[in-house]
Amino acid sequence: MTNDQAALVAGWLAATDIALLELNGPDGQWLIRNEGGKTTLTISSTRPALAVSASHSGVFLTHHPLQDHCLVQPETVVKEGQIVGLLQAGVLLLPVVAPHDGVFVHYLSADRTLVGYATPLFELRPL
Amino acid sequence: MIEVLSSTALATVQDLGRFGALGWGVSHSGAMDRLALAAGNILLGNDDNSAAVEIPIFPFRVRFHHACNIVLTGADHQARLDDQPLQPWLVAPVRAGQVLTVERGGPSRWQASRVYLCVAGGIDVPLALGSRSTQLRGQFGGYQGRTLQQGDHLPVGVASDLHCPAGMGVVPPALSMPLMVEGTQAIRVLRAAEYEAFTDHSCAEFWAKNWKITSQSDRYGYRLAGPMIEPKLPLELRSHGIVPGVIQVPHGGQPIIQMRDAQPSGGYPKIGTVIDADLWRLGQVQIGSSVRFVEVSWPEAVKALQDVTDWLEEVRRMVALGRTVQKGAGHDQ
Amino acid sequence: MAHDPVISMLGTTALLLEAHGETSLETQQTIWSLSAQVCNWPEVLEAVPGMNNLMLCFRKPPLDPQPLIARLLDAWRAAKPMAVEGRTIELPVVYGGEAGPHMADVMAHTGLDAHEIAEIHSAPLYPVYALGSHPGYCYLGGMDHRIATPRRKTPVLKIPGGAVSIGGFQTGVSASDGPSGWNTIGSTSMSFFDVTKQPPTLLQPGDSIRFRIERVVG
Repeated sequence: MTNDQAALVAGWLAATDIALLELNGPDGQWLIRNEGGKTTLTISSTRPALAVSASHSGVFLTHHPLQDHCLVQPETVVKEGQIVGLLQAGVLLLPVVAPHDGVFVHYLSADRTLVGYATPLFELRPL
Repeated sequence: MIEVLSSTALATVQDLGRFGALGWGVSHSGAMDRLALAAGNILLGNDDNSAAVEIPIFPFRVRFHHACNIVLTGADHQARLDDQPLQPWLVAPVRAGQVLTVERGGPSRWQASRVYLCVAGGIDVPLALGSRSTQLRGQFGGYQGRTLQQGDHLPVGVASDLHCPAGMGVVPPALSMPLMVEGTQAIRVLRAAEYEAFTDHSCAEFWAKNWKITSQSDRYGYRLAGPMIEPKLPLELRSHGIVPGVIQVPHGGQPIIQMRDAQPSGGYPKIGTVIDADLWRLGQVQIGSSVRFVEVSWPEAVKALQDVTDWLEEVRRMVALGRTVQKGAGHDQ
Repeated sequence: MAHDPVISMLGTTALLLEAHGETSLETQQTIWSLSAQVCNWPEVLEAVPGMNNLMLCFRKPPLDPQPLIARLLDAWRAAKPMAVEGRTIELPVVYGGEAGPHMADVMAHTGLDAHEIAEIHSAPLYPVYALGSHPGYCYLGGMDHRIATPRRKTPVLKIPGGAVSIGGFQTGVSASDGPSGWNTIGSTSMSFFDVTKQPPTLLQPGDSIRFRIERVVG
C-alpha cells in the first residue's frame, strides 16, 4: 500500500467509530489507530531496512544549520526525494534524499561527522 | 508568473539597489539583506542583480503559474509548497499551480527578520532609472512603486540554462561569519564628522550600551532606544549627502540609523556610520531586539568588506562545483 | 592651507567634503564645478552636491584613502565657480493654518507673526543649490536669517507633498509625502518629479524658485 492509499483509508476510518484497523500483508503490517477522528499510522515492515550511503564526502548534517531539530524523526514515513540530511562542503550544502518512499528508521552517522564515499548515513525501510 | 494570494504587509520587489540617482533625490533602496539576495541569485544561476521579493511580515502566500526553481534565503522561517515542507537556503523545484506559504520560523539559531523569495529568471518588473528596486517615497520602481497586495501578478524572467540541483544550498552567512558581543548582535561603525562634537560621556555610552530597535523602525530608518546622546553645544548643520548606515542624532538625543530607503541627504549631526560590510546584518535585526556598536578603523572596515566579497566568491565557486552533482547525495547499498 | 574644506568618511560607502564659511552661492557654484570634474574619476560611483558640500560615493573603498583625499583637495583649490543659466519657477503658497502646522513654532522662535514670516519668506528669488532628501526635492539658498528656526527635536513621521518648510537656515518644498524634521509653514502644489522624463526632475541646480503669497491664514 502506498502513502496516498494509507491516507485515504485513514480518512475513511476517521469518520467511523472504529478504533483500530490492522492490515497484514506479505511485506508487513499497517496499523491505523483512530482516536475520536484523529488517526495515526504505524508501519511494521517485514522488508529489510537498507542503509543509504553517501555518494561523496563531506560533513554530514542531520539538521538544517539554522535549526536544532533533526530534519526527520525516527520511524517516520518519507517520500522519494525528501531531504533527510545534508552534506556540507565549506559553504556548500548538498541534499541527502530518500531514494524511494519508505520508513525512515534512524541516522547511521552522527550530526557534524565527516563522512566519505559509501559511509552509511541512514536506514530506510521500504514500504 | 507569480500570483500574490495573501494580503500581506510591506513585501516589496528589490534588487541590489538603484545607483547614480542620488543627485535627483532618489535613494538607493534595494534589499535590506543584500547578501541573502546575492546568494539566492548565485544558487539559481541568475544575474547578480536579479530582483526578488523581500518578505518582512508573515504569513506570505503565492501561487506559481509556471514551473520554476526557487530558493528562500534570509531569515529562518517555516515554508511549504502545497503541503510539503521546504527548507531555507536550499533550491526547490516548483510545479505549475503550486502554492508557496511562508510563515514565521520557530526557535532558530539566527534571529532575523526578512525572507527573500528568489526565483530563477528573477522578478521581471520593468527597470526604472536602471533598477528593479521599489522606490516607495517616489512611488515608482519594483511592482508599481508600492508594497505587494493580494491579486498582484509578478512577471518572472527567463531562467538561465545552468543546472540547479534540487536541495543544493548555502550555509547562511550569519552562521559562518557570526558577529556577537556578550550575546548581542554586534555592528561595526566608523566615526562620522560630528563624533567629537558629542560629550565624552555620550560617546562612551554609545559604544558601551545595547541599543534597542524600537517599533518605529522600517526600511527608511531604525529608531533606537538607549542612553541619551548629547552634543557639547547645540548643532545646526547644513543639508549634506548621507548613505544607508549613517547614524544621526536629532535634538531628542535618541539615534536614528538611516537604512536603505533613507533620504539621500540630511542635516542632523552624525555620530558614526555603520560599515558597508555590516549593513546586511543590520537589515536583519528584529524589531525589539538590540545591537551593540563596535568601533573599527578604516583598514578594518575595508577588510570587512573584502571578507564579504570573498564569501560571495566562495559561494560562486562552490555552487559551480555543486552544479556538477546530478542527483541527491545518497544511494542504497 | 587656509579655508580648506573638511573631509570626513561616511562609513566605507562615501566621502563628504564640507566647504568652509557661510553658505553662499559662489561656494555652491564651486561645488558644482568640482562635482562635474570628480564624477568622472574612476574611484567615484557618483558625486552628489549638497548645501556647500559634496558627497562622493565609492565604487570600492580605497585601502589608503589619503591619495584620493589629496587629489580632491587639489581639485577643490583649483576649481572655479561655475555659473549656470537656469530658469525660474513661480510657486503660489498658502501660508499658515492647516497648510502650515508648524507656523506657530517659527513664530515662537523668531518673535514674528505669520504675515511677517510669509512676507520675508516670499521675498527672495531662491537659487536651487542641490537636489536631495527625496525625488525632485530642491535645497534652496538665500533664505533670510530672520526666519531661521532649528530643525524639530523629533522628526514628524509624515508631512504631505507640497509642504513648504524651514529647517535651520534653509528652506525647501516637499515633492511627495514623507517624514521630515523641518518646520512646515505653508503649502503649494507642483509636480517636481516624473520618472518617465529625462531628466526626471523639474528643477536642476542653477534654476530658481520664487514663492508667491496666495493667502496667509492666521
